[in-house]
Amino acid sequence: MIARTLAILVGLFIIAPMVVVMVMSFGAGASLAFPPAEFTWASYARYFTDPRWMVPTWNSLVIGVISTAITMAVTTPAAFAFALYGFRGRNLIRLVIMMPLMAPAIVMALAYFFYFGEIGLLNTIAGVAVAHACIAIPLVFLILSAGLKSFDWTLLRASQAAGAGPWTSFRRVCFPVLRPSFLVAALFAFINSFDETVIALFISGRAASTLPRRMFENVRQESDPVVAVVSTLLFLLVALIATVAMMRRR
Amino acid sequence: MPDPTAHLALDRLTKRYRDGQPAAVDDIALDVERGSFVSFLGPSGSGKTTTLMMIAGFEAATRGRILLDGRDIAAVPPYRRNFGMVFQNYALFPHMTVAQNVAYPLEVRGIGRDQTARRVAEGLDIVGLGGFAGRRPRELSGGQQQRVALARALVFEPTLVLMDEPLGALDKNLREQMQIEIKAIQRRLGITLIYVTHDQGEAMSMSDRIAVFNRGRIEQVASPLDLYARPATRFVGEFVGESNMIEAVVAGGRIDSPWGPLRPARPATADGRVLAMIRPEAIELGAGDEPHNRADIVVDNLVHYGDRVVLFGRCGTAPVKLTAWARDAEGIAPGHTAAVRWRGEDIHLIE
Repeated sequence: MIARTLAILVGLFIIAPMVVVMVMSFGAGASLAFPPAEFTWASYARYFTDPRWMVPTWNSLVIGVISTAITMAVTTPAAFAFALYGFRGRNLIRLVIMMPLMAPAIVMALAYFFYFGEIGLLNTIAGVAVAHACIAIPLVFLILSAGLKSFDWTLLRASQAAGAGPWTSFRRVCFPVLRPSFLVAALFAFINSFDETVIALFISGRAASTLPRRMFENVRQESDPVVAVVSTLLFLLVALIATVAMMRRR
Repeated sequence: MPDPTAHLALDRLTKRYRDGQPAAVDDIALDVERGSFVSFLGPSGSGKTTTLMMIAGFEAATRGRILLDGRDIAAVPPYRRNFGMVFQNYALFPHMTVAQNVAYPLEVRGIGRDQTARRVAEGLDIVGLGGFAGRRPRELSGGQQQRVALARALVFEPTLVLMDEPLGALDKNLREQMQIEIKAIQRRLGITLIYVTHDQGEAMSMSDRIAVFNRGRIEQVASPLDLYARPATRFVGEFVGESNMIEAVVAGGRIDSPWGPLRPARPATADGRVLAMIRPEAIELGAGDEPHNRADIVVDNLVHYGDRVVLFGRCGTAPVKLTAWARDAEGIAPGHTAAVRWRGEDIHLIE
């Protein structure tokens, strides 16, 4: 009884900030207010019609997709190599792969700022996509490696013994069985990029501005309820994905 | 030299993983006759599974040849060798139904939908899983999964089937039942079957011939009866069935041992050290009439294994260990002197 009450209280405490933000999103004033003076969809309308919000949203989506594609393409062979073969320097290479996870975001952001400045990738979609791909690599590598660890490799042998070549075996046996791992890895990579703020602040510039960056600027400069709208929508999107994932697990 | 009429022949086959290390498979030779059931029998690490994997094409030989109907298949990748294969853990595709699993080899060969469906149904009937087409592997018991694996291996009508300890995970009764069924299917379809196992009873009951592996080499290839009655080496004698191994010395027509003088029905061919094997069923209680082929053992200790009994004692001053069937050893206790005898025909010399 006490445990349940405690759990509910903790739950409420956790979602309280989100509730505050969601309420604020229905305001229409020039600045954020809690509680808002009036309840309206006006800010929602403004978000979807204002190019100053829609462009960064679109950029974030594009960067998310590109960086996820890069990460998956690069990390999948690596995860397979580590799972299948023993080779010299394994541990060192794995350390290098993990490094973006261990370095603080601000350090990475600064590094990318100076490095991309040198090679002309500052303020470009490509630049942000590459940076996001790099920081997602350790995450995807861990997820794929975990999936591969529980993969039954004799399935591939059974497939080949049955007459299917390596590519057919991958397509018809390996990939379908591993699909959950691939999907989870891609999803995490995408969300990681979509949410990423620090690096984007440093290297995206006005031209390639991402949604988190736009929100940061908004809070600093105008602080109007559209920020709350974006937060609410993002939160609902993630909640939706998580719910769908849990239903499918059932 | 490999037999040119053999279905499968192994010629000086060797597998060495690293230079300087002992070979996993060391220069083995074997002819497998078409339509025969041959077991690779041996303890773990003896090279039997590695050899099977080389035949399947999943391991490359370091040296030597694998000949299928006289043709060297070293260059043929595993997915073109057309051998049926059953793995120890069944390796059923978890994301497919039973029918899809069995249909897989046919689909991969481009066989049409109708014919595939028909042959899948036949295949499932052969293994006794007629109504299971729509089930998924995780819904099946171990024995049922094994049958699906068997059906999948047979559905494309291979002439050679390889099995890697397929019954290891099943309980005793189910295993024996599956052994009978596998043997029946093999005989009915006339397929050449190579069967890897570490269970000598399994190999003995199913095989036409058994190749006994030890440390990368084949110590003997023979029919089960020959293997049991006339093992070529100590290892084979001890691995297959229970045995009494007596170290003896041949000198001038006489054979002496810690058990006393031995006179086998078939005399030794040369002087020197020799191993005399007597199977437990040949041991009889009671003093012999002759001075040879008998022993009086002062029993220090005995261990009961249910069907057999192992006596530890002394014959004169020499320590001896005797294995006999429990029925023949009734009444013997520590402190007693057990008088045992055996016939000359039951001594097998390993020189």
